Amino acid sequence: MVVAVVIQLPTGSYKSPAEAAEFYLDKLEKGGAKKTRPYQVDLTSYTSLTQSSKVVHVLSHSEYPASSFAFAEHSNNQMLVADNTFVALMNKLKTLRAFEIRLPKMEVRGTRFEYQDFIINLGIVNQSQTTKGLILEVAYVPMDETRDGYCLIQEFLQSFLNMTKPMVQKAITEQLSNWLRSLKDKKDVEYTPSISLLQYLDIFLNMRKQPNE
Amino acid sequence: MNLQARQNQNDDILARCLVHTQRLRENLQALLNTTKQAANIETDEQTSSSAANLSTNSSLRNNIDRKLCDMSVSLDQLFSSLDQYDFKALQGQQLLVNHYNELSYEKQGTLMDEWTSNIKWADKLAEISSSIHPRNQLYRRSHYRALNTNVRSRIDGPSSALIERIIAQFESSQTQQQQSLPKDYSIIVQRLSDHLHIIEFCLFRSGLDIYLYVRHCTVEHVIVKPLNEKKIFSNNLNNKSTTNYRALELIAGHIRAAAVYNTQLNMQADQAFMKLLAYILKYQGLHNQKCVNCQKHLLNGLQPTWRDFKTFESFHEECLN
Repeated sequence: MVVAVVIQLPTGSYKSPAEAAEFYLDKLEKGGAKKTRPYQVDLTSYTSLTQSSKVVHVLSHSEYPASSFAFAEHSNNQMLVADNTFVALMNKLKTLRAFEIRLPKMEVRGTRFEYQDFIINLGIVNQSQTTKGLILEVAYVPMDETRDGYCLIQEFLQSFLNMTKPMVQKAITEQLSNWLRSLKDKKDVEYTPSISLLQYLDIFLNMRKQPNE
Repeated sequence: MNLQARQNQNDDILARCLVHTQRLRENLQALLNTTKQAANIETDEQTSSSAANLSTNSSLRNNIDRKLCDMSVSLDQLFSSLDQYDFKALQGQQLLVNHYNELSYEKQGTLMDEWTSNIKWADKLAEISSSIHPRNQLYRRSHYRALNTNVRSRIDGPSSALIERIIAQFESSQTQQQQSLPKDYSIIVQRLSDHLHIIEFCLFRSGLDIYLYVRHCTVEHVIVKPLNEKKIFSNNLNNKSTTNYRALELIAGHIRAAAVYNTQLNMQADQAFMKLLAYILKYQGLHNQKCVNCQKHLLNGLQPTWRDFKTFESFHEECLN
């Protein structure tokens, strides 16, 4: 039960994403956030051999070690939440020549921080040993109402990382902004971890299209 | 016979009961030893049969019969002593019985269970149960005396009906105020005994679950948890099971402070409790109310968790100074 916002941090004003990561890490530690453990997120994309347009993206997140999250393109944003042995199943299908890995694997390696009731994950995105950018995930733990949680996290980003409101609104993924828009006229809906992973997927797919940093 | 004499008679009976119980215990132990011996001899008999073994066997059997007879005599004497016990004298011991009642629930009912598991005792208790649980009485666990005896700032004795009445009054007043708006909270009362209650106050908008451990309308312990977190309370609220979240821990502390503040105002206990429920309801806006002082939502990563006891305005803890 958590509400999380995942954004790509700007690294243009730094020499490299590593330097930008150092800067933000320093800022978090000076602000009072406590380093807890490493964190990682992995994305593996499996392309169907029978229908090449069908791609299944499988994600795993160290915050949810027992689960795998699978997303099939053109599936109306439905995320399958499965056991972590789902990856083994996909590898089996690969050996049976039903799926293969054509697109390079993407991964985020970083550090997890805790500050009061917030969890902050900051990591560098790599694709086949090439750095693609910097990702920040901020989660407010004692709540699972999306709208209120998003407002709190937005304020946290403004106060803790000195990001302005337009910057935050620009940085949030299309997935989250569509989700928030859909909630406008409805009663607030419970946030689920698959929404976080959809945000990660959105960022990864955009990064794949971008040139290397 | 006066009360003192009846109590003395009861004490004598209890002493005799103890003697009978001790005799029973000794006979049972002797019986156990004898049966063990008999079993050993039986195994010996299987290997060799001798006249000596046979005579030992018969003496053991006689021994067993004698012990069983002694045990039945002791049991009969014990039951007759219990029959003679003057349970009605306990009516003069209301203070002690109430104290015992409270203690028995604190030890999770094990003492009461042991005592009432014997059916004869339960029958005796059923005869005098109505006089053991009077409607209203001033039982004091401490030696505290109210300075103003007209104003009872503390309710002692059975309080179930009172708490239910307070909650019903609170809900009807809220319904009148909110009118057509949907109800955004719920209050569930779990009755542990006539004196002990766990009140679960759910605030849907802020996603909070507030548990109040109430003894005689006095709030003894408060736990605040997020709405969807698993509840692992059984029959007893574990004082050590606090929340994992900093903001909610602060809120629990403030609610405790509000409870103490209201009781010190020399108002009736039911009014104080009603005020506390109104105070708790103000936490509905936890996630969207700004601090009145700094006009911010978050300060050092925390929402404004303090609510003023009179005006119910929201403040950060740091902004109070």
